[in-house]
Amino acid sequence: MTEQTEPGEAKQASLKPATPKPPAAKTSPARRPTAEAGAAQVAAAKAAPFTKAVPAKKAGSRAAPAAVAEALSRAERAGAAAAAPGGDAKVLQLDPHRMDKAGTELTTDQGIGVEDTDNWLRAGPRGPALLEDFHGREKIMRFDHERIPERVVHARGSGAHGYFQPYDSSLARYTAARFLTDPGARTPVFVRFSTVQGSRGSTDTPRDVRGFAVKFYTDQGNFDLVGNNMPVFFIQDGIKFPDIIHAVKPEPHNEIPQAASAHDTFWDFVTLQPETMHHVIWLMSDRALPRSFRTMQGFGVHTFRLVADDGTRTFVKFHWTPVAGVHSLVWDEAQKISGKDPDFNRRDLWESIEAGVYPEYELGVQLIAESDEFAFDDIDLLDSTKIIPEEVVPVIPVGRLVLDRNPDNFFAETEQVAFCVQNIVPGIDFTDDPLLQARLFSYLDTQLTRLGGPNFAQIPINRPLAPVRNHQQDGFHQDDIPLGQANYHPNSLGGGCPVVPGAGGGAFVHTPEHVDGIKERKRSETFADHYSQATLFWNSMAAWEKQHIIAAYRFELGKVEHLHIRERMVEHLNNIDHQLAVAVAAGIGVPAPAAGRANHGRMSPALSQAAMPGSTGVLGRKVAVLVADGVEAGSVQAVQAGLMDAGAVVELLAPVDGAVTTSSGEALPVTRAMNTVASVLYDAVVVADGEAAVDLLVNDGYAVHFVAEAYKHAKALGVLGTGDRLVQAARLPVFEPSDRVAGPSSKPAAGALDGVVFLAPAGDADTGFLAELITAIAAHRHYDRPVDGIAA
Amino acid sequence: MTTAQQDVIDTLLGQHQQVKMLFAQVESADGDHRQELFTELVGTLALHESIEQLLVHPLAEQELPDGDQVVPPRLAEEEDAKQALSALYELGVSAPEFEGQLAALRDAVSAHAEAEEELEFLRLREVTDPGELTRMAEVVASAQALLAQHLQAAGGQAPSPLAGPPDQVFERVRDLLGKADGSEVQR
Repeated sequence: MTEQTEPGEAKQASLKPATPKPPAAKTSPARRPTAEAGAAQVAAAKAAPFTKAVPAKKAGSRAAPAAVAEALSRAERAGAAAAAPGGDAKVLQLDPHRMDKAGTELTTDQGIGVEDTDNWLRAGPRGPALLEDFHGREKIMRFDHERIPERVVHARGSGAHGYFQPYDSSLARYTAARFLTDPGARTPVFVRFSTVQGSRGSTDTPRDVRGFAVKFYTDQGNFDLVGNNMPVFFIQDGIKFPDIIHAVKPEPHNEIPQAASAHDTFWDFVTLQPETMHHVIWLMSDRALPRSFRTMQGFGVHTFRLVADDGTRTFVKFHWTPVAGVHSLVWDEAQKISGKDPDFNRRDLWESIEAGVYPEYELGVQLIAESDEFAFDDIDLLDSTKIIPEEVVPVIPVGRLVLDRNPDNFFAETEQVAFCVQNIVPGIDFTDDPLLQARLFSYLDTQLTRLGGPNFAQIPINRPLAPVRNHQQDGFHQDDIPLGQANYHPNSLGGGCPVVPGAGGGAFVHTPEHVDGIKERKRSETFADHYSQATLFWNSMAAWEKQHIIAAYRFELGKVEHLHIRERMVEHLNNIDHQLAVAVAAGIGVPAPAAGRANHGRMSPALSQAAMPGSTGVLGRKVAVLVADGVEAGSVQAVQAGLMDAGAVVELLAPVDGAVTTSSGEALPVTRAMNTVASVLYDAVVVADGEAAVDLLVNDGYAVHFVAEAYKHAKALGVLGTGDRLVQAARLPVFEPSDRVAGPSSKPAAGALDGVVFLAPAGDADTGFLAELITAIAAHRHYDRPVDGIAA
Repeated sequence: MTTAQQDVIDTLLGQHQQVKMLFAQVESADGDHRQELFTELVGTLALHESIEQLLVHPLAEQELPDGDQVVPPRLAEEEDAKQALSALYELGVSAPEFEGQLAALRDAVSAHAEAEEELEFLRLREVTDPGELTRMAEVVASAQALLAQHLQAAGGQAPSPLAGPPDQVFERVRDLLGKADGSEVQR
């Protein structure tokens, strides 16, 4: 911040027209003068509009300073974690299975050399094909059977290897799980991120829940934490799982729509099953549109248990928090990405790891003493549609997850990895959460069909690092060769082996618990409140998050053909918040409801994305620099170098690929042609300086649209010198008094310059300018801009 | 325990976000919807300003070293906003001048909110006993519940306590809050 004012005095004293300060020497163009004294006061305080981009300010977040401090301490903890052995153990285990084709000769599956793989064996060059061609038949047979059933849900996924390392041994009081308590060891992991609804080949950026599944290859066996990027689920009892998934999936008669919840069956179901309301409002929020797998949280969803060596049990909720912060796309952008690059998130994950920008998450736990099981009078810990607000039970940081290696082969690893909720290690245990209990059955069961039999645990990616010895045998695709005569227990012919280690021998021991109940199909009455936490979520949102939620409900319900379903949803919304219901109704042709139940007014500031700005700045952010022949190379190259030094990915885009000729006649190589990409694939845009170049760009519809669209999507915009003519051509309210053709601007015009950084013509892109630009990009988005009237 | 743990500053900051959101919604709506959203806006502002005037501004005046300089301008801005709302109400949501005046009020309220947040609220957190701020949040919550009861008693029929000329709405809300627990709300 260049102009931090002292509370109470400087603000009051500087009641004069806003004038931007150097280093961005350009006067802010046509900032709309506001008559109101209060507006002028704050406008003056913000006299250097470029400082508006501080992450803490981006969202009007109530928790901003605390959030930044939290993000920095998270980074510090991660930085302080010492390197430890063990992280590559899984990679080493996979090595013998890796098949390197370099320097080899073509054979059949039987190892027989192939004479020719281009021509089927025929009776004469124009004669009939011979059945005898074992190579031809094998090749076609193998091809015909390449596909396996895709996952019923979470079919679309992307995976990565990495490791988990606890910060210290502080959890040892609570759990016997060594991977959570030994800071001297890294536990290898394989993580798979996914969407839920779409098919395996569907887009990465639908409005959807994201899977966040982690397989820990611990020395005590595999632990699978099969979570999502939202902390609650649609349903309370797993018996409703087929119903919710049938409803959200493409409709059965025409298999439409792909990768979308915006259709009648989904909304028909959720409006008839109000326990879905909390998860649905998360789904309508920006959480459903992660910018990157690197910028979304993960949650274990259920309440689990930690079990200490002495048998003490503690309820636990698992949280993954990305060090890069929680950041999202805007909906218009997400839809366009689905066309421009449906692999957007997969590519981002892959390229980040290849570039050494390793995605990193902090594991946090909420711990609740077993004796406090009933301490909360408004939630039941066994109800997966509820959270425990972080303000009530704090999230304690315990370790870090780093993803540092891409898979060698998508199918062998990412597709064949089999996550099972039942995979659990000593020191952790389940609870009676009825959704969790159903998942314990489902995940094991589904692998049988998908992976063709019971031996899927022998597939290399699924094999534990811990030794496997038992009397399970045979079945399709048995890879192991058990030795010996005894395949039963107890035995004497095998020396009694494998020996049952028993309790105290390091075996998993189910939590001893007294269970007493009447056998009946009945939901607990403590699960009955379906609205309070949806209200809590709504109350906790920043204004821009609320507006995105309203827009999302309007979009989704706007695609629902049956009016009675829309009306039913508005009634539910009225139980969440009256103003939300009124605002949504206004967009979908439904009458506004009368005031409903009172909003309880409670909030959990930690739920807002504004509370998680991250600490990695522009690391891994993609910046497009628009150039053309005649460009001033000096400032472009300074910006390019400065951003890359800070860890950003910078691409020079020109009307055509190759190189552009700079104003001084040099060749400046470009990264790619502008029309092969789009602004939606970048986090920020910089417009280059140079009269001749800008002449070309203002007459290039792609370039004009590129700038307008990036601005509309609230992205940082760097304008170098005469590049401001392109901004003018894009009709941005930076220069216009209003973003609308007629009438007042749609939002405070003071926000028009948020995240827009100017450099004077022929100016020097010095460290001051770069700092402003980097701050603007690191803030991710600038949602207070008036953008409603921008055509893009 | 309930899973609620917030102070009155959280509550007010949340209302600022709500007000900002409502301004945007009123602006983009038409006809009856705009009227409904405008009514919501008036009611929300009335509740919000009343809470501030009954609880937080007096606290700030007392606790902040420059309280006597910070608070009076805020009160004046709140009075201006009430007048502007009344003028908008008189105009009617379909008047041609409505949008322009609404935008001016929106900018003023936004600036007012920002000044409050930076000069008053976040600093209050540093100098006030957290328990006091939490207690105030509870008072506000019970007052809101009382208000909701009145709204429901009205059963959606006119006149709702939040409908009508803004100065009257402000007065009714202030009365209701005062009644919520007179001694407590009045500090």
